[in-house]
Amino acid sequence: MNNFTHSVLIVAVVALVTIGIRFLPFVLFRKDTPKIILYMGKVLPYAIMSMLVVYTLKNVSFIDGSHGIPEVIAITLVVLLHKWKHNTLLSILVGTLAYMLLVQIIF
Amino acid sequence: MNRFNNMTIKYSFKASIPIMAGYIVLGMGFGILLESKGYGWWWAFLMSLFIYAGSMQYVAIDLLAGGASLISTALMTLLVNIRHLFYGITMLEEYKNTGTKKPYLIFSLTDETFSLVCSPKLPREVHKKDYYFYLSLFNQSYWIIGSVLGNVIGNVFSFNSAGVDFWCL
Repeated sequence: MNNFTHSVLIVAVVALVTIGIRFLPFVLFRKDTPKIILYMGKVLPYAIMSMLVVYTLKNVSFIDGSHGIPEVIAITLVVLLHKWKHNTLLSILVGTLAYMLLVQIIF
Repeated sequence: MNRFNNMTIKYSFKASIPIMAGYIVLGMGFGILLESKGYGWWWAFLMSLFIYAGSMQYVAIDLLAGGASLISTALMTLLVNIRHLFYGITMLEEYKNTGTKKPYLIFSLTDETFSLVCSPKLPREVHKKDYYFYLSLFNQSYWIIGSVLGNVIGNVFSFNSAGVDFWCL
């Protein structure tokens, strides 16, 4: 098997497995969705978002380096701005820009 | 019905703007990295079209460069992308009654698209199921455009993207 074929197959496998994972819930629960799954559907977004926050911050050291200060500042900024303006676009842009500035220039 | 659709498309586009910046930048990163391993723009295009999973596409570059076995590739993909299973479970009810759009909606459910379809507070005039569809479409187009652009520009272009990488989980 030459390099080209091998590469094509790798891409195909990644695509197919990803598609399989994405479609699985919809195939499994095509008829009536069990109540427990409906419940998961309601609470999972909160659980997932929280976990994503933890995952994003897991490598931040509060002891060394920048002591997590850019992260804390950026997060606080996002929370306050969102509570004030309720504008998703604004909150994401300002938070990201602020963090990039802090990380690249100030710290 | 036409005016309805126009409003929905406009609204979906606006909602996708935060994703646009991230996907284009990260897509370009992917395209640039892919090019550095010797894979051209059509690879970037096809991978972003058929895989459409940011972090996994980055991992795939290593798999391609290292000539990984198909079994390891499958296992890696399963491990890295398993979270999509939960996105699907969450959207089981919401994605009902979406007709012919349903397969594409399911296929294009990425982390960022998921966060936007999760709890939309839509104005009355916006059709929710169409919103899901156009949003998903816009998001993937940014990703594809970024990937191809990055690949074409190659390693000529570089900027300090430190701080943006939190997007790529």
